[in-house]
Amino acid sequence: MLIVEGVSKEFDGLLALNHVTFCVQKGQVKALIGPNGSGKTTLFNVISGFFRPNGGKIFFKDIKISRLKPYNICRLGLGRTFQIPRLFGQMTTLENVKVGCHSWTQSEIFSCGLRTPFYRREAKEIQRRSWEILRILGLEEKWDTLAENLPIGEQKILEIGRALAISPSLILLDEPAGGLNNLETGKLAQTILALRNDLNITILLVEHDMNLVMEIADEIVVLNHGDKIAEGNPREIQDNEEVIMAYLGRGFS
Amino acid sequence: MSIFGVGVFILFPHLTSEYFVSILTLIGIYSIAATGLNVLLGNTGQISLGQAAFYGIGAYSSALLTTKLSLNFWLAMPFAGIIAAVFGYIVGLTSVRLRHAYLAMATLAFNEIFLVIVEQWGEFTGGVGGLVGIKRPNLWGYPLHSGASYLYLVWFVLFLIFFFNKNLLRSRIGSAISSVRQDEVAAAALGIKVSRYKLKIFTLSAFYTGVAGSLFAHYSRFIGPGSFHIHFSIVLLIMVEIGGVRNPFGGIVGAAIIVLLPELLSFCSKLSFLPHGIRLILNEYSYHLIIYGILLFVIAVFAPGGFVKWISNWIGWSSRLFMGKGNQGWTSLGRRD
Repeated sequence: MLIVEGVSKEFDGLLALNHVTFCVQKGQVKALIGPNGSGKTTLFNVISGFFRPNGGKIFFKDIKISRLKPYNICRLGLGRTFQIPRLFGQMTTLENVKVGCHSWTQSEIFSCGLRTPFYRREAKEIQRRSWEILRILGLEEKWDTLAENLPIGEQKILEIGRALAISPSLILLDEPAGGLNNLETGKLAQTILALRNDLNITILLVEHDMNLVMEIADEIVVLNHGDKIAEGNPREIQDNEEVIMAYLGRGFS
Repeated sequence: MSIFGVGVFILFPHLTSEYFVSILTLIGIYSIAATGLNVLLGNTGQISLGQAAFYGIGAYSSALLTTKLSLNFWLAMPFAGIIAAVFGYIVGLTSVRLRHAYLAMATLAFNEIFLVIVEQWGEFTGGVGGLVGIKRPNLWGYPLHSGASYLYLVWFVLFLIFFFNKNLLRSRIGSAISSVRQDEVAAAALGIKVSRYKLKIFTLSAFYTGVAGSLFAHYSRFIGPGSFHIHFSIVLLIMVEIGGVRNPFGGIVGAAIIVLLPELLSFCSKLSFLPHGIRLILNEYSYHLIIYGILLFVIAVFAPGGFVKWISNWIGWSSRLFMGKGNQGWTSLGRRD
């Protein structure tokens, strides 16, 4: 599904990613972990097209995406969330999800302004799908709440909902559990697994909550100072000496 | 209720003076131009100081198409809008990469270039002397010579543009534009091509303004470069700011205030109890920019968001006070359903 092949990224001489290589199989939940500054979010920005890599290639569904713009990558079915939710605060919960439907709809200015039958059909479909997403995520009660007024846990869930609206086959989740309490994190874990099991969406996530990662991830990639230092299933990662030294500590071994 | 409204609209111009009809016609034309700027400023946050040039391109295109090529007005008006839109697209291509003051300067420069071309290309545009002999249109053989008949035409076009715009801003394109304004990075991550939408809105804004220019040319029957000076771009900006940026009624209310204000000031200048100096300022048109400036300052301090929002808030406040009801309010995409 996603192949990252020897990707490097440099900022003013500082190597943020150094020949990172891994792949994400269809239907997997894969986690990307590592200490702060190890290059996890940079890698997300490179995959989603916000940064151009200085070296290496990225393939998504066998299409080379390492030179594409973010909106083109999104249109191939790759959605993402951000470390700090970047919701449209002045829009309601429902309107935020509706914006996500933009990538697969086609009505143009005249069609929208004149409300042609084509536009009406599309608008109906947007409405139907957006409500369905809100129901899946349990946000239907909050449909008319402005996004900026939602608590942080629901903002994180709404951002996942907005990414779902693009009809993705792969979603990149950047620290989805950041700022959530234990109860909310538990709910989030169920939501992520439901996306994979019920909607057949592949997940790549960056996360610092190791309990969550070990619970839901099929495979884990560990980055340290821009280098990939390990890759394997949760048990292998917990037992890896280098990972314990660089990031996990003895508590997880 | 709506039949009553239509009845009043049809009878109204016949019941009042020709002068008042002309004021209402100007309000209609300026409302279209201000709506053109509002769709740009309100939805993409881009400030254009070149709107007078698009207005002028619409006016000159329509005038030249009807006088030199004998094209029917009903074709010339939309065609004038399209010509203005083509120029809007070209200016937009360079301008979508610019922001804030830089965009304002680029569009201002475009306005000046337009004026220089109009003034220098005498044999085509009439130069400083302007173009005369622009005719009022015919509708099924009936000439729209009277002020009242032209008023209906102008307000009908305004009505069409208002509803087209309202539909547009509540559609997927409206929400895409709104998302671009709020967070370009998040919008791009959702498959929205930010620069493409900015360019589309710039083009649409020029189209509306060009149509307004065409209506102006056939209303005044004479156009010269003086009507398309940078001063008019600034007045349009003031209309939008006073009426309410991003509000669908903002351009219309702002245009009404700015057109009616000189009438009010001229009335006040005749009040004998006012000091002579103040009456002189009120009576002299060239001093009116001072009054606009003060008005803009008052609106910015006491009614940020414009006059329409202030009235809407006031109605909400009074209905809560007297009837215990809240108003529904406006979302970024228009009135909330």
